[in-house]
Amino acid sequence: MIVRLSVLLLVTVGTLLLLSAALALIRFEGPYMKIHASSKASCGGSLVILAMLFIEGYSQSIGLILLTSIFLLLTSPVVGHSLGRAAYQDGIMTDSIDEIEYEGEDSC
Amino acid sequence: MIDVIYFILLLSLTVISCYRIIKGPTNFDRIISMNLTAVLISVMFIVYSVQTDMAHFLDIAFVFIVLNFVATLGFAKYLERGEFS
Repeated sequence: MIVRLSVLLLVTVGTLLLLSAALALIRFEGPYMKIHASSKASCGGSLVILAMLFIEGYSQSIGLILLTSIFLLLTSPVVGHSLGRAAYQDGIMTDSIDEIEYEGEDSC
Repeated sequence: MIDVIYFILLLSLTVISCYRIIKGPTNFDRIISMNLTAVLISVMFIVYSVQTDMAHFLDIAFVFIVLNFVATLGFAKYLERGEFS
């Protein structure tokens, strides 16, 4: 009973996270907002769904699911950072980024 | 029953992100949507393999995620510099 309820809860949470990632692609404007929303939400939703598969008791090749989740956890921030840097180098600027004034001295 | 509903939900999310691939204003939107679509398709592969006890689809899903990572990095480098280098 508890296993069934937790599986249903994890399915709901994971699908809502993936739904937020897909809705962000439709509703948000500009590449930066889309990268920000879709990389984090898709990584989180996929990991929650794979955790649901752990709880459900699929023991035939559990190592490959674990390997896939670790790879997804490692590569999703890399993809987000690389796409964000490419968009910045390509000259796409938003108004909020243009208006930032750095007040301190440039120490870096 | 709930597995079928859940699978249809994932499929509809894939259709939503494919819409942004077709009708994207810039190339960055298309690449972000391609990344999300590949992640959704591989999650569907894994869920289907768990439901039907076929372990071969897990290999396909893992290779699909790795190829998606390499392809997205390649497209990002190409849009950043204008050439593959």
